[in-house]
Amino acid sequence: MTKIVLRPLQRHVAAARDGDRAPLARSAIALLAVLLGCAMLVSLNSGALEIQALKVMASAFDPPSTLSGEDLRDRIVFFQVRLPRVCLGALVGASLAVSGAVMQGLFRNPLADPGIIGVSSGAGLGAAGFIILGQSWLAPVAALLGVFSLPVSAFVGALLVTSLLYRIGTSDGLSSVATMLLAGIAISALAMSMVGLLIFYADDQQLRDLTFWNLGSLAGASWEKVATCALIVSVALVVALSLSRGLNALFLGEAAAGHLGIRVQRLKTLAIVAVAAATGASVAVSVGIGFVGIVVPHLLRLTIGPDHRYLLPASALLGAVMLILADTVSRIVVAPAELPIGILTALAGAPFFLWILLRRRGLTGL
Amino acid sequence: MMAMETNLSVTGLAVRLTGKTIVSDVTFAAHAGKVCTIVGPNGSGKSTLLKAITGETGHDGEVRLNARPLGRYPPRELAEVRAVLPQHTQLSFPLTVKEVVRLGLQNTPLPLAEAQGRIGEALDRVDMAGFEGRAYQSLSGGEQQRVQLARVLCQVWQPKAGDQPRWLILDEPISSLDIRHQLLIMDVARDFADRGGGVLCVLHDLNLTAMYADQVLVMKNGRLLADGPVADVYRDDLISDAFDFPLKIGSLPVADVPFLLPQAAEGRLPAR
Repeated sequence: MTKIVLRPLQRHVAAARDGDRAPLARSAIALLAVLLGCAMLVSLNSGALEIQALKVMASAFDPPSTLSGEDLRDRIVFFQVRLPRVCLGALVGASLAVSGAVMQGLFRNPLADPGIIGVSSGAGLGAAGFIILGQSWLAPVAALLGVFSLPVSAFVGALLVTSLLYRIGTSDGLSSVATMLLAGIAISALAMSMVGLLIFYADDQQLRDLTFWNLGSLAGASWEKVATCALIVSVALVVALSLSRGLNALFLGEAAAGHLGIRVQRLKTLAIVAVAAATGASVAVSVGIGFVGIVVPHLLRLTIGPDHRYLLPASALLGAVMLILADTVSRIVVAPAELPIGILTALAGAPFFLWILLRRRGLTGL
Repeated sequence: MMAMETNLSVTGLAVRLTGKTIVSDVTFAAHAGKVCTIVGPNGSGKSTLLKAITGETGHDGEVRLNARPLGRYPPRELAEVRAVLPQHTQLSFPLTVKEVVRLGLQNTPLPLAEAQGRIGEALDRVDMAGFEGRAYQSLSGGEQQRVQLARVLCQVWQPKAGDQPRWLILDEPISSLDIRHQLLIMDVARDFADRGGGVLCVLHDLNLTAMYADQVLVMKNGRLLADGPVADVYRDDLISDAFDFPLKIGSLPVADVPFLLPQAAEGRLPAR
């Protein structure tokens, strides 16, 4: 055991002390993958109904006729309720964390997060717009995109806000925290007021739909949602990973990144599209899960460093783990009722955000 | 005339920013194997000229690198031919010294051991050996500047690729260094040129320019006031005109190297 785990770990820590955190980062990613498996198992095992996840999985291919009534019930709960929920949690967590990491790299600022600077509000406006106008003005969109209409509308909203923010919040590729956060507040307020206008125009049925979506937790998970979300999120993740070299060069600033052979304009466009797609997909599933995009990349940078080649995959994994665990806790603490998961992530995330802010203020006078 | 053109040539270059002309009508050619420095007073357009040459700033006129117009290089290929050291580099996230230098190897896929060796050697050349594990942000300004130079050196490691020279473009590489490291870094630039590469460098120090430059460009009010070897450019009238200040140029008796001392400027000597 010591030979397999501890010796290499000691070597990696020594390498990190010499300034090379890559080996440490690679083992951290392996560890996080194992952790993700464990988190999924724990989550699948917990809930109002006692289910032995391993037992259900072991008998997954037995014909239904051989199962007792209880086993059959367990199987249905497991495959139709818990498993899609855990998968959706993993997808949403991964996409939130990676959006945060990419956005921070792009804005060259550790406090950029889709939730805080208003990108999620933009996505929310897009989604609300579709829910309310989907049968009238946006009917052609619904006909064209089918199940993808909601995430795509959210994506469009997120895209608009991100590009607007980038224009307002940066000059020469440098973003000031203050400008960015203030612009985010204004844009969020604008998006909220437009959602308000939409509500004003909505009929009763649309209001019900909107309210349910707004309450949205991972509880409404279905395989259809998982599939739509997975498709969009995996494309966004692949794009984000392909940008890691460029985002690394951006550590030095835009001009220097250009001198290193990076097509900076293309990098920025792709990064914004990837962030908007990932945020749109996760907001369409569930609004109001904040701070994952700040906490996860920040914790990882402290240990494995900011190299995006490792930071992005590690963020995806840790984001998935954190969200699955938060969802599990939210199901257990007030069982059989459920705590909205956004409350939990904000309870942990908001103080963390303040802590980063204070540390930065000490360093740079903000 | 048929010889392979291995220079950096600038023709009719002009830069206008927000309606104001910062640099106008600059034409010169710098040659591989030589150190070419740009000197001039503050605000004379040195850095802007350099930014136009590196493609950071839009400009009129033409810049050719090894006979090929700058705009015809794909970004990646350009990065393999020339590296640029900016005046200041502010990192957005805490990297270690080794991670900063490694960014210079982004376009050069190397086996791990070789990459480590090159990073070590580059740091050694700028007298930063042993600093690999230090946080970049914890270094002094001069140390950071040397680490950036190590990164830039990694980017254009061999001064020549086949018969094509590579180029080092340096914006005030020694502005925050002590005298020993000023000489050391200029030695690195000199060595790069001696091995066949080209060096274009903005300097403030006229004495170091006299020591190291093969070609001196003197800028004043956005125009090129003079272009030539040190011996031609270092004349009392020309330098005094460039800096709008009466300056006297002396010459070391042992070797014919010109020097300037501020004490020797007219009106600065104590009355006898």
